[in-house]
Amino acid sequence: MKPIFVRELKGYFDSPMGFGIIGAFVVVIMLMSVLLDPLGSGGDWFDRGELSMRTFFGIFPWVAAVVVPAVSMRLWSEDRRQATFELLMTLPIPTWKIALGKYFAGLIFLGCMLAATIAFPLMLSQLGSPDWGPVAGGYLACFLLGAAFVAVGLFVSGLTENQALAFFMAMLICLGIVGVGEMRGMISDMARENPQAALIHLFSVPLVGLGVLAAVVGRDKMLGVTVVVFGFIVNVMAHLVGGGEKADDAIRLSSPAGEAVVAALAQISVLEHFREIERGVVNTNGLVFFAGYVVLFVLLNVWSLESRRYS
Amino acid sequence: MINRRRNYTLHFYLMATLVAIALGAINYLGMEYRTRLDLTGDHRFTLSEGTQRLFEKLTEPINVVYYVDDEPPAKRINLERDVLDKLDELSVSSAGKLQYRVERITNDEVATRRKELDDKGVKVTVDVQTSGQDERSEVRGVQGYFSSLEVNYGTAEPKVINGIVNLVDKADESREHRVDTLEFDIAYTVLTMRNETKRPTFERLLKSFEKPVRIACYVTEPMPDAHREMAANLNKALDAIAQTVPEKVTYQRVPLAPSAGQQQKYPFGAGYLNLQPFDGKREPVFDDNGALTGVKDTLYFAAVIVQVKPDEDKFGAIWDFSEKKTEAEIKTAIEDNIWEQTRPRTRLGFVLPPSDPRAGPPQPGQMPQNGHTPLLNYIKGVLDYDTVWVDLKTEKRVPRDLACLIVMEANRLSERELYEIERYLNEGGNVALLVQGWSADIDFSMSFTPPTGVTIKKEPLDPTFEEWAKHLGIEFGQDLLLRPNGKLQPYAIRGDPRRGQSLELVPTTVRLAPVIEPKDLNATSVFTRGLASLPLPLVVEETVKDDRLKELDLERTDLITLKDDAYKFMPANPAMPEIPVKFNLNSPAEVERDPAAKPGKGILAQKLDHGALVATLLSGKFPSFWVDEKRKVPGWSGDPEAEEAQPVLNPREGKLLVMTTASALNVDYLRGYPQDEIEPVVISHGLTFYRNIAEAFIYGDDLVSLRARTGVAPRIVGPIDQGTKTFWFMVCIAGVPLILLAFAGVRSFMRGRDRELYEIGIGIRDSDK
Repeated sequence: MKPIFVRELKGYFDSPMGFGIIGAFVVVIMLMSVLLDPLGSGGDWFDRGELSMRTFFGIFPWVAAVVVPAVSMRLWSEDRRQATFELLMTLPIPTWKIALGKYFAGLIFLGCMLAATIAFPLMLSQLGSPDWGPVAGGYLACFLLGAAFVAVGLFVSGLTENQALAFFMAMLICLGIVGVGEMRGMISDMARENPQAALIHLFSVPLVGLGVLAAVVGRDKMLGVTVVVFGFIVNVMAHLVGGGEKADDAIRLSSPAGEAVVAALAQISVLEHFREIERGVVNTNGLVFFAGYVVLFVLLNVWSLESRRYS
Repeated sequence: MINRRRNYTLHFYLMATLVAIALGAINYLGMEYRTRLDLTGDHRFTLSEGTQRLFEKLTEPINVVYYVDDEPPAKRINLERDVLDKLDELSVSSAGKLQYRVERITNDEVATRRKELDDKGVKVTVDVQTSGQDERSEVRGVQGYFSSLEVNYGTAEPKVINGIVNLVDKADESREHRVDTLEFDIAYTVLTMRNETKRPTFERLLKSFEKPVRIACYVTEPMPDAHREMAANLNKALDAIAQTVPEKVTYQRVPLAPSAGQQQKYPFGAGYLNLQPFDGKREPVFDDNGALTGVKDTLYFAAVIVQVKPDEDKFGAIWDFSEKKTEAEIKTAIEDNIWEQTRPRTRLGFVLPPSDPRAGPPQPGQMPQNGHTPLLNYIKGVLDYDTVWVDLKTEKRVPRDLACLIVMEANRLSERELYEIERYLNEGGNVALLVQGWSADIDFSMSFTPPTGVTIKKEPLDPTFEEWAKHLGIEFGQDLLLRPNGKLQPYAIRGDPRRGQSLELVPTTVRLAPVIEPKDLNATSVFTRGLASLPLPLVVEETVKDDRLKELDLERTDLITLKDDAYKFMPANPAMPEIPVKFNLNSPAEVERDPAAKPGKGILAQKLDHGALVATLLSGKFPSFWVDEKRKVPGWSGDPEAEEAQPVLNPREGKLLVMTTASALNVDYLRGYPQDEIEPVVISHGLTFYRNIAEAFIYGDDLVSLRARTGVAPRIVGPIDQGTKTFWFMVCIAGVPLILLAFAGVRSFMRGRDRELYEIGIGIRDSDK
């Protein structure tokens, strides 16, 4: 695993691309969090006057959803492009070890990206006495979210030899993950209004995803299309059923069922766990969640590569 | 091949499902048995020990209803989410003892639900939008929205916390109820509900009275048809009350003719009562010829007068039963009235300075009339405390049943009074000493010429008081403290009525009263809750010697420290100090900003090099100044026949709050404040101050250990100039990329050179030389 890890890590810094990604990441995220202040005070970070990195951590998921796929896109696609993929797969090393070696290289690169934002905490220390707890928590949250995105990128990179396609697919998935998290309020409202429909959505949406996987990973178009269509029909049905039972708009009281669905949504929302750790509260729940996310996508990556041995 | 692929696909799904189930199970276990680490400096996302203890002691769940506007102002778009997040956190942290639900109120239903919400005590939260930077910011608009919590616990009457906001801008930090204070607000509300005196049964209540309750019922006879049923039920209810414990109720029914007037004789005494009718009609009166001769008013009465303590001249009255028609409802209303008059209330003791000469000659035995008196009356009316004027010249002992004793202008106490207060403190009493360093007459309303300045006067500290304070390690500064954010704007007069010009009041800008900012407040003290933006007129600094406190084994908590921008005033003429009306703390010609510099000519104020402490709390077993120093205590009249100081047996832990302005709570000093702001700003802050003191003392450690943070995130210290801004912009945005660029450049150069040397080495390329 170690030679793979070293090889991949060197690959990042051998070309100007690695430096370029880090530089672009720093410029974009700093512009958005220091100069523009996305929390909406109308001025810049200084006008807000708050000695914290809330703006930085607030914008990080969106920036990471674009930048991290650029980091991970080359993990497998590059081997495909250089025709070293077959060589790798025929080496007497288990696929999971190769995948992990590549994953850890991506992870270390992510760490370098975060380390390159050192100027922000440095500025905090010079302008007053910040509370370092949330800053540490925020960096940990960024690392965990980035680790999950690297895993997503690794998986997608294994599906195609086209780096641009890998980048776009991974970016779409990551943006989707962040977007769903940002819409949690709206989804929660829906769940409170109609918990049954929300529950059906909750389980049927992944069905569509599984269908896509069946088609792309399993290369079984028939099964994939069937599962996608089934998932889609279930969703539409849930939506239609939900429309009929919508609660009175005037007073929307929360029900135990609604709150349970909202709690379930919170549990599976990446952004929810990110925000929890970002504000300075590290809990085992969040750590297990991110670890699970990484394990799931690395395993998917391994299986998708294994499947090629049989195709 | 196809079969093999299909098999693999099925295997893939099976494994993926198993992994998903395994991950789900692990996540579930992680959620169930989670441990958390709060990295924040003040553990703001963890229930305080006090709250945890309180939740553990609770025998019943806390049910919270959040009333929130369906369409809050754009600025508060995340309000509901933030509040619900916090409630969720509390619900989880309290192991389910706190449960909540949300009730959204749409614009359409505001009108229809107004009464219901009013009855519950749910009020509209108001955001005032301003423009401008200084305290005279122009008000641009007012936005109202619902954001209130109703807290239900056990059988106690639900309590409502109104005006909950999320932290959006700096102004929000001074709001009393915010998302980050919700833990305290809810825990404190539950604490008060739990501590509320349980109401006994009506029979037991009556039996507890020493003398019979006097009930007089004035009722019109005959009553019009519309109210006949109510009148009959009233009679039945009163008969039932009179029969509950007959020897403890004296009941008199007074029938009134429809022509009866409002003035009616009180059946249990010589006086008259001015009754209020609940209904009536007005009829024209005609003579025999049909000509209108007048109007006849017919008043209908159904009034119940209750006198619980026959020895006192206090009455409870219910004038209208038209909303309560059944016998049970009427009986409950009368019982409630009797309970309200008798239920125990917390007593706050006040020691007041003598009457203001402008209020007229003091009457013997009457409470002194001065600027502190209006607030005392407000406390009675609003805070539901019994306020007791402690006149140590006549009572000669502090009553021991007080929740706390608040001493206004403590520096004017006589030695004997101070001795008695100290004895009260030694016995475990709670004392708040408010010391007045300076005074000023700022009422310009009688002046016809624009004043050039406000004459201020140094209030002397009684030498014994000063010595006593030093004995406890406390010393008082001499300088009057000012601040650029200071308020108190007495009105100057423009125009001259003698010349026929109209009188016009023009606000001036004497910054006599530094305004407390959130950063000045001790973030964990109940005493300072809600005090941000309170003006402190004529404040001086106090210092507390830690080594002395250590000797005495007293604990110290600093409550209010004016941080960063406090200035000491240096009068041009120390013999007749005067603050010019036009004095500007931002003018370099008048203000020395360097604390270490020697002030030049014309300088009227100099910045302090440290934060100025203005309120501190000492707690522990206080030593006796007189016993320890073996001093004689003068008699009450101050006569030289001094007596031996008596040691207090079994001294207990007391609390002493020392604040260096009493005038903050003196309405007279705030006369220059815009009239429309006196009540909502000054009085409300004054009341908050008293309430904080009283409640912190009443609920003692229970409440103090609850978190009462002001919730202020760390802020940038000091002003940031454009140069600093630009520097940090450049460092943040371009610093690391430039370093990377340089590194990549050097690396590329070195690689190129290495490649060249390598190629030369293997003979692909010739050496340049």
